[in-house]
Amino acid sequence: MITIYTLVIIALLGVILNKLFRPIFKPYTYSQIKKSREDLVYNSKDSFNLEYLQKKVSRRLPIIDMSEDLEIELNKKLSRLGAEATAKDIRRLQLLYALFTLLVALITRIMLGRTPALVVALLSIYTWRYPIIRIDKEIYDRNQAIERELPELYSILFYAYKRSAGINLTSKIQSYIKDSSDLFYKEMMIFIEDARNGELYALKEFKKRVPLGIVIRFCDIMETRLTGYDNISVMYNFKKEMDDKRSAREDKLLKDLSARLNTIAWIGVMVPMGIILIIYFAAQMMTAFAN
Amino acid sequence: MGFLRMLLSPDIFYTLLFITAIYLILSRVTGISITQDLKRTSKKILIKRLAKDEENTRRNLQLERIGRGASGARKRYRDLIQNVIISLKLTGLTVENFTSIFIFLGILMWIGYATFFDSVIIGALVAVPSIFAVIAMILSLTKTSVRANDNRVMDSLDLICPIIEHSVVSAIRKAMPAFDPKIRVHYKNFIIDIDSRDMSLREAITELNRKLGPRFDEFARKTLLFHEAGEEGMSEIFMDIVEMNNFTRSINSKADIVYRDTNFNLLASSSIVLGFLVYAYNNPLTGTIMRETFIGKLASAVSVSIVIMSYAVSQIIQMSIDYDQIKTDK
Repeated sequence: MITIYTLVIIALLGVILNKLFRPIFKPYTYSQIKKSREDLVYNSKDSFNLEYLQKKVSRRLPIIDMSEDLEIELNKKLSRLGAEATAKDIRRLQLLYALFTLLVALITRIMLGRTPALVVALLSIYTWRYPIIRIDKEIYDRNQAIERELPELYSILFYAYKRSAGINLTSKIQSYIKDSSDLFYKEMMIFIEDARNGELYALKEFKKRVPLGIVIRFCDIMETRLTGYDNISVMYNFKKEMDDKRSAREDKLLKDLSARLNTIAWIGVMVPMGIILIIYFAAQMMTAFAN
Repeated sequence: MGFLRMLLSPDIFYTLLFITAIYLILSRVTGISITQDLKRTSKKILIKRLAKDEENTRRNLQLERIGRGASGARKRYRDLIQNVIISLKLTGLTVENFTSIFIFLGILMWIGYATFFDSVIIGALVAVPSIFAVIAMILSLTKTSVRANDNRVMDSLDLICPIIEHSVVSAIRKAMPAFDPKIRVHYKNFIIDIDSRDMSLREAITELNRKLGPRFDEFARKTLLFHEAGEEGMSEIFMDIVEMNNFTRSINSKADIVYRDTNFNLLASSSIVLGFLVYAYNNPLTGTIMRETFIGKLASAVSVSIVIMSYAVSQIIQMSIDYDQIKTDK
């Protein structure tokens, strides 16, 4: 109880002293002064930039050799994302991450002990793979975005071509992606940059870069169109084909929904029941051994 | 040992007496009033929070305008809360205000549970599902009104889409008398925005989209496309929306049957679990373990929070079907 009394007295004294002497000796806090200084002189390069640091450090690291197939595959993936980095840069980044994890493992060995250090050292396998995993995830996400949004873009192009033959494909795509999702925007911006060398070239590159079924069909139809043939009936068929699949997908959606809800209800019963049952049997065993 | 036990001890009376005496003397001598200070600081915190919320709202709006809005789970959360705001007619509040309220409630609950259970970890374990449960409760309260609002918006779109020829605005003007009175106001304001308030179409339709909810998203997007890069006779793109609305209605009617079954299942199963828990507390074999040890408290907290969580997650799933899934595989 005495400690509480002393704490209360100290707190009250602090309030009074703060009230009396603050305006005289320190009218502004350090953080206020710093903030106003930052507002006056703002330089974005002063802030901490992790990516720049990574690049700077990893440039000095040696390259661990990799097989030619792997390098070609990785370069293909990077060009599909439209990234500037090459396979060798990614290799250096892998080494940097793995070395950093091993350093952390060394520190944990000194600070904590052998077992946690071993766990952290084993994590270095994951961090070695991490840059490649990130690239794969980005590719997967973009594929999803394309499968989701290309049909709508196609339907708009179809209605545009149905009425008049002289449509500018690139400008239509440009105006569509203004309001689309971020990933689809990135993907189609690569297409638009390619289209400076001609729309046919861009379509061929798009097909080569993203070998999905829907993209290949789309590019084939658009190529025929751009070379000057009137293939509006083929375009109509493709659109109708995509629309007709909807009712089948509706059933699938409802089935998935009920399955998910049932799984959640099942988990909601089984896990608490299991926990309580384990305690029940443990108590029973304890009493049995006590007797 | 904990805060609760300290409050209940007899020594607390003298402590309180001491504190009040000191407070009275100090306030008489120095003229400092702690209550006023507390009021001022709490007001300052509230004003700061509101200003921060406003800043976040503005930032999110700007990001949305340049086409970099929220996606995934964040978008779903924003849509859900926006639906609640629309259906409860809380025009002054934004999604960010709701987020702050939830965080504040969560901290309060955490403190409350931590003092009640005498443990910070168990407090957090129960506080997180409780917040989810609060969100789920708000959602399930507004479920019917959200559905009704969606139906109203879809009906209005079914009226507008077939009569669009050159301009969406003139089509809205033509179809205006047939709209439901509850959303006609928003359309009227939209037309006033364009005619008298000198707004561009993009600004006005974004505002309308915010008022009418996510069922209006596709129409807004296609309207902008039609007006900025549309060709003669391209108005057929709007007929896809009518078709999609049909699918949405049929999915809703079929899903309602599924929901009825699962809600009944969930209620029955959670009552079984709670009954079992009550039995474990009163049973002579496990009663002492459940009541007095840390493991028993932890087990009861975890099982209750899992039951609450499963209810909350199932409600959230029921409220947020992604109708766009039927457009493509996966």
